[in-house]
Amino acid sequence: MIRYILKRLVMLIPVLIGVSLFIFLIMDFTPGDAAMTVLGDNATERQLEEYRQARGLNDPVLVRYARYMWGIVRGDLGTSYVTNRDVLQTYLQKIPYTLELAFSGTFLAVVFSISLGIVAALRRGTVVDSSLMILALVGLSMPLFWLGLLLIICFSLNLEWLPPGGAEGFKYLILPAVTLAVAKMAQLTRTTRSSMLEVINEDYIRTARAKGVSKKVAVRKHALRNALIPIITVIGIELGASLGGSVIVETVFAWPGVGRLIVDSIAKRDTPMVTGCLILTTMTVAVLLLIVDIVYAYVDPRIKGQYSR
Amino acid sequence: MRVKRLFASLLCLFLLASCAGCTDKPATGGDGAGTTPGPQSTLGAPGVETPADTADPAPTYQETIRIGINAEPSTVLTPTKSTSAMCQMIARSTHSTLLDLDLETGEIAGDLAQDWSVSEDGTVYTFKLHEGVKFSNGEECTAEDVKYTLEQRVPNGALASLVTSIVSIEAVDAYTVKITLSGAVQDMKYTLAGPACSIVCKSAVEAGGDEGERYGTGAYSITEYVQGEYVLLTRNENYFGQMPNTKFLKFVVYLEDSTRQLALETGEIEVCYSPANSDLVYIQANEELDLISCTGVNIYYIGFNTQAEPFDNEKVRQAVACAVNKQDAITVAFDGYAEVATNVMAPAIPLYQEVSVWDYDVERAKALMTEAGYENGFQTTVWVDRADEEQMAVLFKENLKAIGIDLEIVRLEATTLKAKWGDDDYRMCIQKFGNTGGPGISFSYVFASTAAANRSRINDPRVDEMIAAAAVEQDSKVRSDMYKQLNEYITTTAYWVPVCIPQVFVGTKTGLEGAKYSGNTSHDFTYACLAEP
Repeated sequence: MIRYILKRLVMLIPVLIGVSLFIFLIMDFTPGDAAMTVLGDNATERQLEEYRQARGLNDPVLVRYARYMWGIVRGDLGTSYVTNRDVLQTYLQKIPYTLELAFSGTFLAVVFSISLGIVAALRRGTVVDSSLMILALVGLSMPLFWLGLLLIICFSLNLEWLPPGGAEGFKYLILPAVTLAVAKMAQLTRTTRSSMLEVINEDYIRTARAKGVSKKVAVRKHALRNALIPIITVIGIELGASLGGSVIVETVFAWPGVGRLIVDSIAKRDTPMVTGCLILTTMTVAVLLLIVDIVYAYVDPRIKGQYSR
Repeated sequence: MRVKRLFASLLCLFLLASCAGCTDKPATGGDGAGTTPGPQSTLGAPGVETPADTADPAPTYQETIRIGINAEPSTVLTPTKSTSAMCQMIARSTHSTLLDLDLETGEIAGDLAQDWSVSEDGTVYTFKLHEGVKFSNGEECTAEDVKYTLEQRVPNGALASLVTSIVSIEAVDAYTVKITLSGAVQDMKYTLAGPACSIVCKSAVEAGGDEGERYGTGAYSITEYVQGEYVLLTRNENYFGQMPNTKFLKFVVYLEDSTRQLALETGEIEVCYSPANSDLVYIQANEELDLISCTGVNIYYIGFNTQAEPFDNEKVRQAVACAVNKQDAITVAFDGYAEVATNVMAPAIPLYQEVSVWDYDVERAKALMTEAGYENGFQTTVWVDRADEEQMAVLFKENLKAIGIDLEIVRLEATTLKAKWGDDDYRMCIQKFGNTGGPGISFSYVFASTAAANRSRINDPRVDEMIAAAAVEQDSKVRSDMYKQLNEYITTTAYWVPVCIPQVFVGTKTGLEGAKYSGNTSHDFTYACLAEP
């Protein structure tokens, strides 16, 4: 098991090199550079040139990349072209917000969608099932910014229960987390339902029931445990997706996460900031997926057997 | 609009199947069809009486004023390099300049300079500084700091192109500065009053690099800047000028227009910077809020590549000037909240004189196309980067079809467009330009052959000569006439087709006083205050 984890961590190195090189090249191919965005429309040629010279923007892309990677090896993720601030420091300032939002959104989604998914599977073909599935479809197809604004109008403007935006405490987290959860719930409820349906008609469930196991226990101990693998996969993917930041939710609720930081930095051609943030996000997501794989092993002993091989 | 809001709330109710209490407001609002004042009226009544109640004892003021802004103030710690309206707005409160431009009256007065004089020939400016003024880091502000700022910082900053006429800066004594210009550049006083000429502390910058510029001599000091969240300013208790009533100014970043407007309505912020046009009705309908509007200075215009076919032909450009329906463009892109621009200078700029050359006249446009030899029309592309420009472009595509021009609209990402201005395939663009200083900028920034933002690639010696001559004319009446002539010439040759000047809006809590609003959107909130009931 430990060998497996180490192997996975070592595999992360080529992934990070690939990701960073890819981002560097793309940022280089994109027209425009940081000098233009920082100095504005009226900057003189001399100013632009000095700016580029000072930050080494005139060097070939591979030279800049090598310099950047050399910095990373020494633990330096670079300095922003725009704000002149340390990339790592800026990222660390934002990541707590992103983690808070990602975990609370996913948590809400998991709690609700697993129970709803089980109910839908057990009541297959009834009104309950179809209305839950219609709701899931609505949730899946609803634009997040629209849902966000509706929630603000309802709970901030009309009911005056919650603040419309910002990040100054628990109250501020509720609306963004709910918005994020709705989008995730739709996907997760459907996965839970179909995964449960597959398992629930298996022979071993019927055998368990025939042996006198109550329906409740059969569902919880026998069906759900076997249906959990695909559900965990989806949870891992959903959580991973939000760790890179949920730009739309962050923008609507003025939530200061990494998503907005990255998008803003792309617009300003702030290559060190974009690369640094994405390398850190890649690492976080990779570690998260590793944890998901380890969780598999505990849910399903058969998988544990495969890891130790 | 109220019906829309009702609908939104109901949908929300339906979706979440909760919150029965939510129906109170929309129900009354729906009946009134947009004219009922809404439930706020009951709250508004005591609020109206408060000024009379508190008139006798000295009024107390709310400790913090929160201002919702729509962009990241990335360069707020380096005012001399700030090009964004957001940072300039904040610098007005944190830093002093030698001179101060009153945003509402247009008057120029001393700021850090107690007295100032200009020599007879207009080339030597002498400033006598206030004595004992302290930067927010405690250092005293002297002539050396002024000299250092203008010599080392400004020429590398946002106003670099405007200070090239400064030949020398001399610190005569600790509190006297003498600036010598190469000519009688009249707009120098506007330049020196601009936030990008904020006087910074020499020792702090030398010790701390660019971010040492954060210490100013303004009424507030920058306490904290959290990227993506806010900039917090605290009143500078040692400020040499009149002390503001508000202790803290907090500029909070709300990128999404609707959220910012809703934050104002729910009382999270006291000022909403540039609310979206579609949200203005909600602010107007709310009795606890005021909507402030002022004439803008940003001109939206159509620019051409005047160095290549077909727009090197004056007649073609003039045909475009006659063929586009500016009034419709205002309706489409700004919900009607803009003025038609008849010439290339904004009326709010000093020394402006009315000029009107081309009217909407499709027949005339067709005749001009025939004269130019393009009676069968041609295909071309227009570059835009903002949503409002794209909306205008869609309308103009229809307008220009009537005179045979087949327009392809290309919307580029902002920075991509910046990088493409030198490309050969550039033909036509819709852009905006806002003058933030003296009248000369209206021309030198965009029409001079050497200007960085010369989007029409104008290379006309006559324009260059007129710009240079007007810049140093000392008689303001004559100078105003010179700009009128220049304006007439550029408008007639249609180097630009000016389209419109959008109004500038700010939403505030009722009772907010002391803020000064500017058409270039870098307002001054230094003295903004809200009396407590």
